[in-house]
Amino acid sequence: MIVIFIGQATLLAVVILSIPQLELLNVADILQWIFLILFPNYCLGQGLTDIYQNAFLNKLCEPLVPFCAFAPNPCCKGKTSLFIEN
Amino acid sequence: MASSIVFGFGFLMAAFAVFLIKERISKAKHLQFLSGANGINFWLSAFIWDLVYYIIATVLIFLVWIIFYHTAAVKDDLEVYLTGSRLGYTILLYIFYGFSHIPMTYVISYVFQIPASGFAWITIINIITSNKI
Repeated sequence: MIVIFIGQATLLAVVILSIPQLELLNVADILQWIFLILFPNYCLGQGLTDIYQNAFLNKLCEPLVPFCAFAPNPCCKGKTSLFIEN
Repeated sequence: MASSIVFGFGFLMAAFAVFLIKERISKAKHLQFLSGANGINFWLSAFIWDLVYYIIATVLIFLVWIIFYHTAAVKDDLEVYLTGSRLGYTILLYIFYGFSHIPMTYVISYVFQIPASGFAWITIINIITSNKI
């Protein structure tokens, strides 16, 4: 419980603001850059989270990438041009 | 994972400020500068000594991670940080973190007058501004 209160002050603000329905995405973006510059601790946490998230998404996308030519999906970023040309 | 790592580093980084505050308040730093010590020499020696401590702590963290990885306790989580080219990213992240947070602690240490309360306050600041998965 204490960890929830004291550990998330900065991250909670960024995560809540980056919900697309609130239309505050640019505020969250700016706030994240300010936090990244001011607080090195936030940097380390964000870095570890990003590495984990990227690796997880890569693993999740692996079986979907061969189907990019037939069915466009969020996994084939940069590979959709082939589909659009066809 | 990230929350516990950052929580621990909050204490480690705050501990670096204790000696600096003590040295400033007891005028030991003033005495060193009067005796002809250069500003660059003073801060660089403090920084390198703190960096040695930081590197020891980081090596111990990697040691614990590798032990947990090979005993398959949290293998799925740790293979993200320890396998393939991502090990390089993780090491680079820790190196940059050390180079950024130690000088930040030096800057913040100027605010405080008592070493113990400075340690406590910097720890609180570090924990509040930290991150969590």
